[in-house]
Amino acid sequence: MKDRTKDKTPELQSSSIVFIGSFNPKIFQPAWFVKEGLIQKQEGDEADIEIIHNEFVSFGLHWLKLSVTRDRFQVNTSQESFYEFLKDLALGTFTLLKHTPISQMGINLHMHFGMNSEKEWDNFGHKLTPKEIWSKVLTRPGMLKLTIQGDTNRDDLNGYRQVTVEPSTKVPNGVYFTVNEHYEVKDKKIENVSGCEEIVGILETKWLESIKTSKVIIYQLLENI
Amino acid sequence: MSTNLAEKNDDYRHNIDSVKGFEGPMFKYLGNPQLGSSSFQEDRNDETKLLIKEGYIDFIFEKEKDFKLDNFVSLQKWEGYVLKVLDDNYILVRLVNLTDPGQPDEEAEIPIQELSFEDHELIEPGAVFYWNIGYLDRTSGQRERNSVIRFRRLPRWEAEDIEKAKVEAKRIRKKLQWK
Repeated sequence: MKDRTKDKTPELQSSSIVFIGSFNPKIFQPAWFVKEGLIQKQEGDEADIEIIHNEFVSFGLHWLKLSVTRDRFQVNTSQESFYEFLKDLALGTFTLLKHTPISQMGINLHMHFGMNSEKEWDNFGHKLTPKEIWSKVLTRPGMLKLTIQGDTNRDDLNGYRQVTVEPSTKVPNGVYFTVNEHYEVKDKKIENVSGCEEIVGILETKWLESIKTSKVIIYQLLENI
Repeated sequence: MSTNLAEKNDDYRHNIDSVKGFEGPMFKYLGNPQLGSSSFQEDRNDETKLLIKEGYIDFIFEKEKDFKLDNFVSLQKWEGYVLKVLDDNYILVRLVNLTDPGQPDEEAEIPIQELSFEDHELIEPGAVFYWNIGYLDRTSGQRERNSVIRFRRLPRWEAEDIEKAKVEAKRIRKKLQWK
């Protein structure tokens, strides 16, 4: 039988990029992305549009989900072969819309791994959150979610790194990891942010490093527990 | 870990459909921003209800959408650059191994017919593409071996950007004292 924990391939994974700022959602339609050459015409024609409204836009392509509200722009993909294109889409979009005020960005990696048994799965949770203290105040305590925040060790940039571990609701006896690499502009008050060059610059230079670091963190946690 | 997952929320769409009482993915996108994560953790029912009341989004709940995307696991990934268009049928490319960066670069000829028709207009020397080989797990449960070649799509540089880059290059050159 396959050893699911030694086989370090995630059973499910995705990546997302989130911008916090001030957006005009209605711009972000498939036709606009096609016109600007950021997605293929056929993809645009076949886009699965959920809603296009002044306040909220949401559509999907075969590899992408995009949603935009007045204060949030988010793209994600569950296809690893499209991670670079997710970054390029975000980069291209706000290279064109360079006057859009964006103050914060999250580069996120999500992975689900299966454990060999329920016992192994339980042990993983116990190691992350020992139950000695909790057993004194709760009956059958169990870990639902653990988030740990750390510095990004980047003196030149504002931000932090958050790692979240939870039981997977998609993979039997599975563990779900999220790493959120959070970046902020120097003055993040939205009224003081005049464009998005700073954030776009960070995305361009730090995206690959963020994804690589996130993978290393997840795999190290899996190995060390 | 606890097995009581029913009331739990999750950061990721793959988990959405198992969360009790969740009425639609966009339901949680509304409201105040979260700090950079793709989090669905905050309950935004009140804000959403307000938008519904004001007639903004009343219809979206009538539409049941499957937000699941196919899952692709890459086994081998290269970044490629077009060196030369050999004729109408082939391109000569340099491949950089992203899966094992220690490996030397390779050169290869790729038949143009292997590329998406939509990407043909992007083929020119210097154009960058990514080549992935891996498994595509369809939402239907089927697993397929898959090879995907796709070209980068970025806006063309504007004259202003080129000027900026020239100024920056001059500055660096001066700093390095190159003659």
